[in-house]
Amino acid sequence: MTSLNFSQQSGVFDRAAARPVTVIGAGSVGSQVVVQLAKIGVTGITVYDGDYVESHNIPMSAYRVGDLGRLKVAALEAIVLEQSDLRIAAVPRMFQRERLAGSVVACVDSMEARRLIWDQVKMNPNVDILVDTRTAAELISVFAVNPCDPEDIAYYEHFLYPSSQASRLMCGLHGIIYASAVAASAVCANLTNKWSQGRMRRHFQMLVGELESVGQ
Amino acid sequence: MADKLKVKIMVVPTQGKSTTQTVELKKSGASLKEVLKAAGVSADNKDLLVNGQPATLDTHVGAKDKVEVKVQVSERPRGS
Repeated sequence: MTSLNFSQQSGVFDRAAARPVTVIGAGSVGSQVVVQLAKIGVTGITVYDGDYVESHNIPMSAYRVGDLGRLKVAALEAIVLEQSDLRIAAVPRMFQRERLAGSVVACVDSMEARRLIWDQVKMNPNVDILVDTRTAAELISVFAVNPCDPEDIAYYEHFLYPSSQASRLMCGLHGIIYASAVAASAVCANLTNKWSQGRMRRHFQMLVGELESVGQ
Repeated sequence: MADKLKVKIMVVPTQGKSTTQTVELKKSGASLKEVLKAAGVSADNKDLLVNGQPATLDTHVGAKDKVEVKVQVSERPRGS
C-alpha cells in the first residue's frame, strides 16, 4: 500500500488497472522506472539486480551520493520507501531463469541478458507485456511487445542479435540521465496504456538530445 | 514497372541529428545491400528497416508507382 495522494493524476491513470511489474536491472533506466512506477501508484513492484552502486552510476540514475557502495536494489528500496511510502520486493541478484508473470521490464545492458529474459516470457500466457529498453549516448530504443502475439514475436526477435553485433559502448558515451529518463517515461507510458487501454507502441526511438523522434 | 529506383535513407546515430539522403538506382528493384552500397552507407552492426518493417541486407527493395521507399539505418543501443 501507499499513502500518496494521487488526486492530480487520477484522471490520467487509474492505478486500479495496474498489474504486478518485474523490473530486471536497476541501473540508469531501471532505477528511474521503479521510482516512476511507485509514484504513479503501482504497488506490486519486484526488482532484480546484483550490482552495487558505483560512483559513475550516480549522475545517470535515481541513486544518491549516500548510496555509494550499497546494493542497488537495497538503495532503491530505501529511495522508494522514502519518496512513495511503498515497499518494493528487492531481489539482490541478477535475474537467472525465474518464472515471470504480470508485466516485465528489461533494463539490462547486454543482449545475452535480454535473450535470457525473452526465453522466460516468450509464449508465456502469464506475461501481458515485455518492455525492453536500450540506450547508447543520447539514442534510446524502447520495445513493447505482447510475448504471445506472433507479429510482436517476429518483430522483437529480429532485434535480438548478440552483443558483438550491437553498438560498442565507448567510454564517456554510455548515456546521460535526461536520455534514460525519457526511456523510463516511455516504459511507464507503455505500461499504463497497456493496462488501461490495451495498447502499446511496439518500437519507440528517440535521439533525445535533439528531441528528435526517429522511426518510420 | 518503373526503371528507376528512388530510395530515401535515414541514418540514425547514437547522438546528434539523424541524416537523410536520397539515392537513385537505374533499375526497378535491388537488394538492400546494393542500395546501401550505392549510397555509401555502412550497414555493419546496424538495425535496418524498409518502410518501417525489419529488414536484412538481402531484403528486396522495389519501386512501386508513386510510393517512396524509405530505409532506416540505425545504430544499435544496448545499454540501459
